[in-house]
Amino acid sequence: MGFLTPLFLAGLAALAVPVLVHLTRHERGRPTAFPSLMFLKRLPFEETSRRRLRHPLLLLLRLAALALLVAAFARPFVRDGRLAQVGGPGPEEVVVLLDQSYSMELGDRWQEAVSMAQSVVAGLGPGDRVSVVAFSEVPRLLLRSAADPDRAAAILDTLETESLGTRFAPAVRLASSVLEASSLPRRRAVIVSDFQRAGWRSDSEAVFPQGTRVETLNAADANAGADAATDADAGADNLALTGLELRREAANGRERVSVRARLVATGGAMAGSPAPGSPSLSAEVALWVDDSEVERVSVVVPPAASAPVAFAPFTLARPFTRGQLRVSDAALQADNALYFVVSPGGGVRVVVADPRGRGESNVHLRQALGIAEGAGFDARVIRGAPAASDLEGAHLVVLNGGAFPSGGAGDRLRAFVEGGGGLLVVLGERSRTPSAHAEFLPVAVGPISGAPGAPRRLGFLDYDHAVFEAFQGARSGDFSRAGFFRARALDPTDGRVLARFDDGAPALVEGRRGKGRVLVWATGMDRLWNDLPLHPVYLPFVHRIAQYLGGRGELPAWHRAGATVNVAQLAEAANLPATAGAPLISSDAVAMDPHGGSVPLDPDTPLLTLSTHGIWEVRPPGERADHAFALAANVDLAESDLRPLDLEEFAGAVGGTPGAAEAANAAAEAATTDAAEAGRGAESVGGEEFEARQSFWRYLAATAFVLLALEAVLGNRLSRGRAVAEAARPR
Amino acid sequence: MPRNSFLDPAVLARIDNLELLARTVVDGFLQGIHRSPYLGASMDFAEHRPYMPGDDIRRIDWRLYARTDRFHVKQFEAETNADLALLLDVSASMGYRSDGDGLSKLDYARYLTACLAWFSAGQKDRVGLYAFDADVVEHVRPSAAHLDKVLHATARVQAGRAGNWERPLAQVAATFRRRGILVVASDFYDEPEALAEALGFFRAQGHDVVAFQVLDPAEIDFPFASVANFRDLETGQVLPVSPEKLAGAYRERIGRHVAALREHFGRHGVDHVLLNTAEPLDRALYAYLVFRQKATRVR
Repeated sequence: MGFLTPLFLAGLAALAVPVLVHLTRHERGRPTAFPSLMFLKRLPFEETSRRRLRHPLLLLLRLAALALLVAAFARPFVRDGRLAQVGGPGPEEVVVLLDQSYSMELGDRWQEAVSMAQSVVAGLGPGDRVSVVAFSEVPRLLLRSAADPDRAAAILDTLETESLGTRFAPAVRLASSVLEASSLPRRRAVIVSDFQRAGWRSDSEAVFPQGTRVETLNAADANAGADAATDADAGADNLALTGLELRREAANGRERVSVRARLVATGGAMAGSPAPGSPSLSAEVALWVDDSEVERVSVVVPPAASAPVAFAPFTLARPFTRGQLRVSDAALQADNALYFVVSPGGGVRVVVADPRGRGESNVHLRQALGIAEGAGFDARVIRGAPAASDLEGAHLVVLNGGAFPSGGAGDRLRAFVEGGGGLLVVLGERSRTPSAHAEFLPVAVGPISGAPGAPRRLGFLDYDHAVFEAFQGARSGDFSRAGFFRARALDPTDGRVLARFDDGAPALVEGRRGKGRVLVWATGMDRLWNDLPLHPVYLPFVHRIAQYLGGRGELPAWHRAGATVNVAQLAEAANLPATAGAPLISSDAVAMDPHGGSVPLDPDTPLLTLSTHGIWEVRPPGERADHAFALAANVDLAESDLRPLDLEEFAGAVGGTPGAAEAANAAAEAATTDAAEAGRGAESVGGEEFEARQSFWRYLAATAFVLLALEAVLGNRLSRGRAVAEAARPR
Repeated sequence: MPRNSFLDPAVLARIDNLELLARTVVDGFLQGIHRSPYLGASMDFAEHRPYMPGDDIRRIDWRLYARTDRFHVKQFEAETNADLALLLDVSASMGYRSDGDGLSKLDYARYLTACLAWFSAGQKDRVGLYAFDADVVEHVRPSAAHLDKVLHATARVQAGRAGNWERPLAQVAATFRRRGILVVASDFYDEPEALAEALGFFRAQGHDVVAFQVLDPAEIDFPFASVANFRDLETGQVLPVSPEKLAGAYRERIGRHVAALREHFGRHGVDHVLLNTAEPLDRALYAYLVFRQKATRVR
């Protein structure tokens, strides 16, 4: 039990007044003259008589009324027990959404945010239920509708920031589902975040249920208010590294990699419209390769702009070479480094078997294979079926529109594939498959379909596959613009469909044969059946297919933090020699995160979520870490944009009211402005809510008035009775 | 008019002239009791007068009746050598009156004193007055010609200071040497034994002493009901009192005090008469007459 204005309790001292009145009431006023008190003084009980109360019931009524009035003025409230629910509008379903994105690492934002969330939890009533949703890019429901604030507080204490960006919409949807399922009369969503503009994309489904009170507790505001002088906040100059490019080149039989990136000025002042005369930022960027600093360059970044960062090439000698770019920056730490893992590549020898030989039908394919940066392709066009000599040393055979070889040539080709080679079957007018090798292809090839006037589009791409993985990001390649006029009908037998046309017909099907792979492309690689060669995605598409089938599929140099990758597929794409002939991911393999923690991998579904930025390793326990299968994860630079979100607009969009948001922010500021009194401030806020909800003072005041009325009635009766008794006394 | 109407204190309170009051009371009283005011007052024959109802038939001169066939009574020359000292207590406690319109104890004692002075002057006694509280505040030496002074002094005194018996009695003893009669009117709020010893001193000197204890009805009945502060009129002490709890004990104590006074006074030969200011004066006068007759007879 607490009191909102406990100073009023000093009024309890007034309780002595009725007692004194009862004890000394007759001492006041005009004394009764009497000739002599000699017979009164000597009475042994005159003192006790003086101290005895004449009408204890009256006194009790007065004392009780006064005490109730004092208590009413002190505005009592009850946090615990059943009384906590008396007079209130009922229990409340509270969902606390805590932002874990890496921007919360700025200054004391995270500590403030956790403190705010703890305050909310501490202010819950006994009938309230609380849910905890931690969110960054993906929300996680850590506690669902539990009447256990202590548990929620313990969960909040265990949380840490993540290397991910902010996405409010999924978190709002998740919290909304919790609130909708609640049967409690009141609902409240408390969002604790630094509210970056980049984290909010309007989402019609990200709306809280009707009647939900939305509170936005801005840790950035509280942080700025706490110590603006020392805090690196939204207005701070933040530098972020992005745009990593690795360029390979061959020199003296050795592969060299040159690293380029961009250094971007983010942060509040730099990201928006810079003030005239804002100074440029100088920073040093260092390139580290395998834990050794290779080079350090100085970079000057103009306000609200970026500057290129280029390093001299370094020799790539060993697979899974780990590199890192570092910039010294006092603001956000997570975007101060870019990690990458690069392995030696090597040329992919490609044999293009075209029934017409070198000509129009393969000009685009030849051009595409002829253009390769770094480890390129060695493409050779032959007429007819590839001979044994053609297959010697080749990594990939492309049957460009021709029939699958029959007889011995077909057997050689099958043996080539089953021995680890790659086969790309590009279907055309002349394509056919001998019945003896029909089962070798993962599809049954059907007739030609389609007409020039109604081109089809690619409607489905399997971005999880190594071929299309590079295209899954935004603006990473648009296949939908390419028109396909003619194509062979494919009926997959045991293959995996990697792409489909918009009418559902398979466009690209993969099959495994021995150690090798077979891809069947339903349409041509030239401009006769489609206009894909005219689109920008053609070149990387051809390269990805060639690298994949040629066994030189290089792992991505880095992944975005938060991405979930199939480790087995990546290892397979990398065509690791060490894993050849053995399970790519053994049963005892673990993934080691950048901080040294281990994550066990399931050999059946070796999925790994790169929750933290840095270098991840996949290896059996105890094995040497040097140049093990490694992955790099970098943060999403969008999170480095610290420009704030309009909270009123946000609250309105998610179904709250601006007033509620402002009130919540005011409460949050009150609760967190003075860090030393944060807990007490939060308690005060909670107390106000309790008091306002319970309004015990009304009951106390009403009871006090009733008691006073009783006292008046009783007092009158007693006085009347005494008067009658005195009148009846004989003189 | 009822015979006692002039003795009713409420009626007496309306009479400002103390002499008129005393004469009215005494004459009315004496007529009411049908007795001669000169009964036994002297042994020397003065004259005859016609018998009047109320005269003692023992005083009828039968010889004269035989001669004249009319009833005459003998009248004797009053004895004038008796000194009467009226000791009137004017201490503050005597100013008490429980009824705002009633008589205070001092008023009552004042009337009593005046009546006795008038009555005694009529018997040719020498009347003197000692009004005292802690000291003698008014003193009229006993004299047959001092009735007016006594009455004036009696009318003049006011209750004011706290009382004390020691000095006044010492002064009375120093000035009242001739054997006589001491009439003391007071409320006697002091230790009975000490009072009795003090007054007994005069008794031992050969004086006849009668003590009229004048009390207000409230002092006897203690009719108060509400808790209140009671202020002692003499000491000024204030005491919160709950009459509900104390009334019974008070009545018992005041009763014991009166009884103790009567006992100790009696032991020292001092007559004690308790007077209630709500009662008529005739009882006091009658008591005095009895006392006076007894004293004369003894003498």
